[in-house]
Amino acid sequence: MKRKKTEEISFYILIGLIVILLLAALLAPVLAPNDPFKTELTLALIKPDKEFPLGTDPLGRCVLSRILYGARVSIFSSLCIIGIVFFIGTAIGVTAGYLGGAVDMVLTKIITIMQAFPKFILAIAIAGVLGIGIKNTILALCLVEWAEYARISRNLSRGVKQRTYIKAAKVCGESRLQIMFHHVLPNVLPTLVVNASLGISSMIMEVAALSYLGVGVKSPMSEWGAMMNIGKDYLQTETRLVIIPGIAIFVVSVLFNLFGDKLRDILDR
Amino acid sequence: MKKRNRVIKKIFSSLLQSLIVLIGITFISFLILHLSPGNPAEIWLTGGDGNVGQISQEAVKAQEEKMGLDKPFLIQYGMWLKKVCYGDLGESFTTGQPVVSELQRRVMPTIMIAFVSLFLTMLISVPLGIGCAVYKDRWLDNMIRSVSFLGISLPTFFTSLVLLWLFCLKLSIFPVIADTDVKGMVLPVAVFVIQCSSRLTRQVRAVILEQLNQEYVKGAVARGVKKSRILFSHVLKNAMIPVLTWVSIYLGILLGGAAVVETIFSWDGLGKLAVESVARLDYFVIQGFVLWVALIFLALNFLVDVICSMIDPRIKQD
Repeated sequence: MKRKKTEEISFYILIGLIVILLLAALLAPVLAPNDPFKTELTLALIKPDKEFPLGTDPLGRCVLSRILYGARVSIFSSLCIIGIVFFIGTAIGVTAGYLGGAVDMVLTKIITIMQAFPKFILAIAIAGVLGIGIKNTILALCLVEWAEYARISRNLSRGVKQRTYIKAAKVCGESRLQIMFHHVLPNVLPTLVVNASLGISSMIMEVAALSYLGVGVKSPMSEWGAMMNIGKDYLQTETRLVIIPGIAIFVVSVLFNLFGDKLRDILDR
Repeated sequence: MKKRNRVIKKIFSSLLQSLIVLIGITFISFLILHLSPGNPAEIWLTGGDGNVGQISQEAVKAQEEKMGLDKPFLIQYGMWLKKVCYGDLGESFTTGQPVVSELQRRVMPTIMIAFVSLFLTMLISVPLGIGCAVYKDRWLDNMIRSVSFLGISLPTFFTSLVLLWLFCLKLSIFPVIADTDVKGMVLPVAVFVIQCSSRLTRQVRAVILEQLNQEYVKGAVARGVKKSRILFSHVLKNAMIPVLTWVSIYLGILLGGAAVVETIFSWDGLGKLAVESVARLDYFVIQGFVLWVALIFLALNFLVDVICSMIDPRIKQD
C-alpha cells in the first residue's frame, strides 16, 4: 500500500518535471540570455562566462540560448510526429484488423512496405524533393513511423474481434463503425498509449540524427542534433559543443522514457 | 502428404507476397529519386560541385542519354526491374562500377559489425535479463534496470562522439580515422552493444516475468518441481519466441548499416555508402541499397516465422 503511494508521488513529480521542461521550451524567448541567431565572429568559441553561461559556438552564438530554442524544435516536433502517427496508424490498424479480408490484405502489404523501407533514405530523399526543413523532416518521419502503430493496433484488433462482447454488440445491431469506436478502440488504446509515450524519446533521437546528418533543420534554426554536427569539428578543443546538446537530448529522453515506463505500470495494474 | 502440400503452398504464397512488397518498395524509392530536383547527369559532369553554368546543355543531354535518364519514368523503372531479374543492378554513376560489386565491397564490413554486436548483445542481455526477472526488485535488478535505462536514452551518435573523443583524442588508443579492420571495429561495436543490450535486457526481463506469472508455473511450483527446472525447461522455452523476434529486429537494423555511426567512425559499410550515394544522387546504388534492406527485412521475418512455428506448433494452424 505504502509502495503504491510513493510510486504515485514519483509519477506526479515526473509529470511536473516534464511540464517544467515544456514551459522552458515554450518560454525560450524570455529565458534565453542572448539572441540565439546573432552571429558575431569576434565572439566565436568563448569559454563559459557571465554573459554566455555555456560559452559560444564557432559563429559566436550563445550556446545556452540555442539549447533553449533547440528544445522547442526537438521536443515539439517529436510530440507532433507521435501525435500524427498515433492517430493515423491507429485508425488504419483498427480498420484493417477489424474489417479483415481484402482491406486487411492491402493495408498489411502497405504497412510491410513502409516498415521495410530504410527510414533515413526516405527522409533524405524527401529533404531533397521538398527542401531541407523541420516540416519536411516531420513529414518524412510520419510517413515511415505510422506503420509501426498500424501494425500493433491491427494485431490487437484482430485479437479483440474474437471476443464474445464483440459478437454480442453485433447481435444487438451496432454498426461496424460503432463497434470499432466503442469496443475495439478502447481495448487497443492502452498498449498504444504506452508505445507512443515510449516513442517520444526515440523520435527526439531520430530528428536529432537527421539534423546531425544535415537534412533535419535548415540553418540557422537551432536543433540539438544540428548543434552536435557543428560541434563535432571542434571535438578536440571545444568538447562542450558536443557534450552539452548531447546531455540535453539524454536528459529529455530519460524523462520521457521514465514517463512511459510509469504509465505502463499504471495501465497494466 | 496433405501436410506437405500445405507447407509448400504456404512457402510459395509468402514468396509471392514478398515479391509484391519488393516491387512496391523499389517503385516508391525510384519515384522519390526521380522527383528529386537534382540531375544526376549534371552531378556526374560537374563532379558534384554544382558549377552547372560551365557545362553546355548538349553535354548534359548526351550524358542523360548515356545514363538512360531521357526516357519516361515508367520505362526507366521497367528497364531497371528487367535488369534486376537477371541479377544486374546497373552501374554506379560516380564510379562506373557495377552496383553489385559496390554493394559486395561494402556489405562485409557491415555484416561483420552486425554479427559481432548482436552476439555480444545476446551474451550480455540474456543472462542479465533472466537474472533481473528471477531477482525482481532486489539490488541486482534495480541496478541493471537503472543502467539499461540510461543506455536506452543515449542517442547512438552521442555515444559515438563521446567514445571517439575519449579513446581516439584523449587516450589515443585508437586512430581517429580507423581502417576497416578488427581494431577499427571495436568502437562502433561498443556503440551498438550499449544501445542494443540496454533494450534487449529490459525486453528479456519483461518476457521472463510475464512467463513466471503464468498459471503453469504456479502449477509446477505446487507440484513441487524444482525452481531451476521450471525456469530452464519451461519458462526459457516459452520466452524464446518473443526474444527471437526482438533479436531479428535488431539484426535487421544492424544489417541495414547504421548511417550515422558508420559515418562518424569512417567505417566503410553500407550505411556510409547510402549517405554518400544520396548526396550524389547515385540512383542505382541507392536502389540497390533499398533492395538489400528490404530483402533482409523480409528474409528475417520469414525465418522468424518458420523458427517460431517449429518451436510452438500452435502457430502453424494460423
